[in-house]
Amino acid sequence: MTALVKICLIGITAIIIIALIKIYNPEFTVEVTLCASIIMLYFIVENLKYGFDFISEIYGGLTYGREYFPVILKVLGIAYITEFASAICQDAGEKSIAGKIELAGKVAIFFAALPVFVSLLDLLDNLI
Amino acid sequence: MSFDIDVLFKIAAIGIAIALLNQILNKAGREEEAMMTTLAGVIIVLAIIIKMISEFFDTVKVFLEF
Repeated sequence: MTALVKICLIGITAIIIIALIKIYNPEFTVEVTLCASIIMLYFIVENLKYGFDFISEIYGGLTYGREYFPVILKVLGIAYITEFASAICQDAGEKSIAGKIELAGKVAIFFAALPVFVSLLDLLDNLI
Repeated sequence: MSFDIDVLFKIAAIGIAIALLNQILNKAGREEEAMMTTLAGVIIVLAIIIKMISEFFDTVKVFLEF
């Protein structure tokens, strides 16, 4: 709960600073937004770690899906970074670059999730 | 680089200082120096940001076994 409050406060202070900087130095707004989003994402990822320790214990008990838990983490990491970069580009007003980054993220997620799909097909073959 | 709020204030301070210097140098009739100081300010802030980005990506890699 306190982490949530901290993240919201960081966001608000960042907005105030951006409004201030926009008057004096318009080209610095991109850097300030970048820095604020890095700080916020850092706290989010840090809190996410506790959830992952818990989930990895549960996944330890599974028989079939145990080796696919890292894939979920990888896909989540890819999603985080692509969303982070594309949001920064959209803030700076570059919609097309943001679209390219999201496309790259989709391709990366597809490749990360490929082994899961293949093993699922093998499982179906065995069943039929 | 530490991930707390004072980095944000540092960047804001640099931005305002650079804008101030720019105005003073322009009034003093030295447009080239004014442009130089602006460039220097932008480069300093970029150096801070790039260091933070690399550190952030390392933490993400460690946290999510990326």
